Amino acid sequence: MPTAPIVDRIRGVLVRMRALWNRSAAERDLDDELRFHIAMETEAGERRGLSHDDARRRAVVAFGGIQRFREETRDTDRPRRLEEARADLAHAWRLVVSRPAFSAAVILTLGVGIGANTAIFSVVNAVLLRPSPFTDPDRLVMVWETDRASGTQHEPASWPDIVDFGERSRTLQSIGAMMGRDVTIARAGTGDRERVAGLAITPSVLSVLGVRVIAGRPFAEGEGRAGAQSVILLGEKYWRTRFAADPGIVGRTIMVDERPALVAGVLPAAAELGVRQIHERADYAETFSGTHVAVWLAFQPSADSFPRETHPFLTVGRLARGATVGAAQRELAGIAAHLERAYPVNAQRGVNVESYGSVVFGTVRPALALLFGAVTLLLLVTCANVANLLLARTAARAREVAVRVALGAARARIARQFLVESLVFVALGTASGVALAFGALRLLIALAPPDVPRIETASVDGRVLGYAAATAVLIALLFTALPVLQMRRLDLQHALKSHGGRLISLGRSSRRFQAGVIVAEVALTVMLVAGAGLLLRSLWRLSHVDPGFDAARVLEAQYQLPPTRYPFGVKRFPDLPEVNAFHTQLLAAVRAIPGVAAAALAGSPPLDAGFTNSFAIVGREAESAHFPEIRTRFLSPGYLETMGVPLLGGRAIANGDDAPSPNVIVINRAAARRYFPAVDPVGQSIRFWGTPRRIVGVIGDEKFRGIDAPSEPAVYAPLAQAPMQQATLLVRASHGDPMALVPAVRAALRQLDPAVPLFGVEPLAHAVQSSIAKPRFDAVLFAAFAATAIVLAVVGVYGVVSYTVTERMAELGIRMALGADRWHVVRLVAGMGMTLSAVGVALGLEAAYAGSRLLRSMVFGVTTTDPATFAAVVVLVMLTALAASVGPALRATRADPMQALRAES
Amino acid sequence: MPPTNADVLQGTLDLLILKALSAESMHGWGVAQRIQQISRDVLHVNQGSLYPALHRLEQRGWIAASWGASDNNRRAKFYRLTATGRKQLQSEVATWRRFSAAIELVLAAG
Repeated sequence: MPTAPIVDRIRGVLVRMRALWNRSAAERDLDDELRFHIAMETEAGERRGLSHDDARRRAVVAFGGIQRFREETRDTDRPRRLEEARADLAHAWRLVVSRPAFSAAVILTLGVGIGANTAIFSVVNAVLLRPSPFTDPDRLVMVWETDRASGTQHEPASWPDIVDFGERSRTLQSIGAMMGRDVTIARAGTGDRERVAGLAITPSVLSVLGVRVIAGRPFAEGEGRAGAQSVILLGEKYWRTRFAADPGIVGRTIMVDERPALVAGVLPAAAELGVRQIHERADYAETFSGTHVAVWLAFQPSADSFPRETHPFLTVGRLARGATVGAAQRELAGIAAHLERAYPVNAQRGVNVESYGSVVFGTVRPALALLFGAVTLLLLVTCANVANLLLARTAARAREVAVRVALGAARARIARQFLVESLVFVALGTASGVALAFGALRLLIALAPPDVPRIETASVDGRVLGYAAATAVLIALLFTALPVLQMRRLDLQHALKSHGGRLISLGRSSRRFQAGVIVAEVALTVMLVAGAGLLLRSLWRLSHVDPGFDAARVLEAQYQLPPTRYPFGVKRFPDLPEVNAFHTQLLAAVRAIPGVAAAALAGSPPLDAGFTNSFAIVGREAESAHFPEIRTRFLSPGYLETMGVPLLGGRAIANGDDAPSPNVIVINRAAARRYFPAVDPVGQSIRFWGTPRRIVGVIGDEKFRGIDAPSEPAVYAPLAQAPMQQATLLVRASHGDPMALVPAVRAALRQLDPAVPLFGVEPLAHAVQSSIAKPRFDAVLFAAFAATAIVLAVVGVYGVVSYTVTERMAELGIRMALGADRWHVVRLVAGMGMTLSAVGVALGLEAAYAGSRLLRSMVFGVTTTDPATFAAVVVLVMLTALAASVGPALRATRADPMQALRAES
Repeated sequence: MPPTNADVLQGTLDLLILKALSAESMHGWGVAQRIQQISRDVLHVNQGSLYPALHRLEQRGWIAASWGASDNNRRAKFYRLTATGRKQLQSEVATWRRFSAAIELVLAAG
C-alpha cells in the first residue's frame, strides 16, 4: 500500500476525532446525508411514475433500515476502544448520579482519608522534603561544648575556644559563631519602638551556611568589631512587613538599641532555618524570643569582651570536603583535651559535634513520621470502609454482570468497566480530598507549635498533588481488583436464576473477605485510638503538672533597658544606679495601679531555661569542684507573693537586699535536698561570680525548662545585687483577667521612660499552655484521626451486619417461625458484629502494643503500654461495635417468615 | 429490467467508489447511480454499505468530503478523490486486472 501523503492522513484523523468528540455534529451530518439520499431516491422513483409516498417508502426500504445505516456508519466512524471507554465513563457517571447517597458516602469517606493524608504530607513536604536553603547542607555541623561535671552535652562555646577550633582543625573548613540578641528598633518618623528577635553572627556564618543576600551585600570580614559602625542585615519577613520590601532601605541607617546601624542588605527567610531549633537544643542560650530572625547583626567578638570562661556562642561549622561528623568529633575532642590541659577554666570541658540537620530536624522528624503513619492508618481505614461499600454494591450487581457475561461480554471488558467506575469514584474522592487538604493545611499551620521549622511554608504544591494522584491511582487499582476477583467466582447459573431485585449472596470466599476487611478496619482503628489515648492521657498529665507557681491572674511582660542611658559597667557591677533605680521605680509604679495584688521582677521569664553557673559551697570547696552548674535566677522582693511560690524556711529576698548590703541568696528545695541533705542550708554560704553569698531562705521548686522537665537545683539572687538590663515584669491581678491591667502597666512604664517598649506581654497561664503546645498538637491530631476512624468503623460494622441481616432474612424468619425468641435472634446477629470486632480489637491491641514504643519520646507521665489506656480503648471500641450491631439486630427480629418463604418460591 | 442483478462483490466496493469518483466529485447517491449506470444496471450498490464505505475511505484519507449544493439545490455532501486516493485507485485497478485475468485463465482451461 502506498504511503498516504501526510496531509491526507491528517485529514482522515481529523475526521475521526471530530466524530468522536463532536458527537452531535457528526450525527447531524450523517442524518443530513441520509435525508439527501432518500430524497434523491424518492425523486428518481417519482420520475419512474411512482406516487411520492410510494417512491419514498421504496427508497427507505432499499436503504435497508435507517438504524442499521446509522450503526454501521458510526462503527466506521469511531475506534471501538475509545467508544467503549466513553460508554464506560457515561455508565459510571450514571451509577454515581443514580445513587447519590451511596456515592456521597464513598466520595466523602475517600475525601476525608485522602484529604487528611494530603494535608499531613504537605507538612512533611515543606518541613522535611524541600531542599535545604544552604549549599551542601550535609557538610554543616554544630559544635557544642560539653561539661563532664554536669553531664551537659549542648553547651554554647567560648570565643577563644571557637578561635582555637577554627585555627587548628583540618576537618572543619570554616567556623562561625552566633548568639541570640533581641533588639529594640525605633521606627523612622513615628519614633515608635518595637522589640524584635535578632541574631548576632560573625560575618563568617554567612559563608559557612552558604546563604546569599536577596538585596544589598553580605557582611564583610571584620565588620561588627566593638566601637566600629554597627552593620545589620534585615530578615526577609521583617523587611517585607516593616519596610514594605523597599530595596531602597539598603545603605540607609536605622536605630537599633538606640544606636545607628547601617542596613547592608536583606537575607532570605529561608536563611533562618534552624535558628530556633539550635536555641532550643542548647542547654542554655541568650534570649532569642521569636520564630523569625528580624535582624541579623554583624558581630566580631574579642577575647577581652568574651573571655574563655563565658560560653555564650552557638557554633556552626562547615566540614572540609570528604570529612565526616565522626572525624570532626575525634579531631575537635583532641583539640579540646589540649585546651583543657592549657587552661584551668576549661577543666572538664569536651566537645560534641552534631550534624546540622539532626539538630534542626532531630525532634520534628520522628514526630512528623508518626503523624504521617497515623494519617496513613486513617487512609487505610477509609479504604477498608469504601471497599466494603463497593463489595456490597458488587453483590447487588451480580445479576447485571451475570446477564452481560451470558450475553457474551468479555470478562476483560467488564473488568475495564469496574476500573472506570472506581476511577470515577476515586477521582471525585481525591478532588474533594484535595479541596479538604487546603482547609486542613491552613488549620494545621495555625495549630502547629512554633518550633516546627518551615511549617509556615507548607502548601499544596506540585509534589503534593503528585502524591495525591499517586495515592488515588493505587486506591483505584485496589478497588478494581476487589469486584473483579469477586466476579471471577460468580456462579452464572445461580445469579441468572435468582429474582430481579433480590440480593445475590456473595460467595463464601467473598463473605470471608468482607469479614476480613472489617477485622482489619477495627484493628487499625484500635491502633489509632490507642495512640490517641496515650497522647491524650499524657497531655492530661502534662496540663496537671504543678509548675511550682500559680499562673492564674498573673501577667508577664519583658523589657530591655538601652545601654545608652542605663550603662552596664562591669567594673561597678553590681552597683548600677540607673538600672537599680529604674527597677525600684517601676515596681512602685506598678504596685500603685488599682487592681494589682502584687508585682515583682525576675531576671528571666518563668519556664525559661535562663542560665547556669558553676558554684562552690563555702567550706566544702574540694567537694564542690565535682558539682554540676546550678540554675541561677534573679528576683526582686515580692516574687514569692506574685508567683505563689511557697517559702519553706528562712526568709524571702527583701527590700534591704541591695548593692551596698551583704550578698544573700535563697535556694530552692531541690538544691537544699541535693547539697544540704543533713544540715539546715539557711546560714550557709555559696560562692559564685567570685563572691560568697549567704543563704537566707529555702523556697519551693519551680519548673524552669518547660513543664515536663524535672525540678532542678537553683539559686535565686536579689536582682538589686545582680542587676540585668533585660528583665521580666510579673504582675498579679487581685481579680479577673490580668490582661486588663496592660494599658495601665504600659502607661506606668511610659511615664518612667517612654523609649523602653514592653514585649512578650501575655498572661502567664498562656506561657504555661504554650510550653505544651507540641504535645497538644500531636494529641489533638491523633485524637481527630482516631475519632474519624471510630466513625468509619461504626459505619463499616453496621454495613456488614446490616447486609448479613438482609441476606439471611428468610432464614431468620423461619427460625422465628419455629419458635426462636427475639432475644436469640438479636444475640445471633449482634454476636456476629461483636465477634468480628473482637478479633479486630485483639489484633489491633497486639499491633498497638508493639507500635506504641514509637510514642516513647512523645509521652509524659504514662508508660506507652499503660494498662488503663489500653483497657479504655478496648471498652470504647467494643461499645462502638455494639452500638453499630444493635440496629440491624433489632431489624432482624422483625423478619416475617411468610414473606421470606414466599420470596423463596 | 436487467436480466441479472448482482450485488457488488465484497471487497470491490472500495475500488468501484474510487473509480466512480475519479472523473468528478459527487455525492453518495450519485456514486451509487454512476456505478449502476456504467455497469449497465448489472451492479447494484447496497446503499447500506455505501455510506460506511465512503466514511471509511474518508478516514483513510483516500477521499475528502465537503458540503455543497446539488443540481436541484439541496444541501449535499460531495466526495472527491485525493492524491493518495488516485494512487490507491491505480494500484487497486492493477490488482483487480491481475486477479480477473487469473480467474479467466482458470475458467478457460479445458
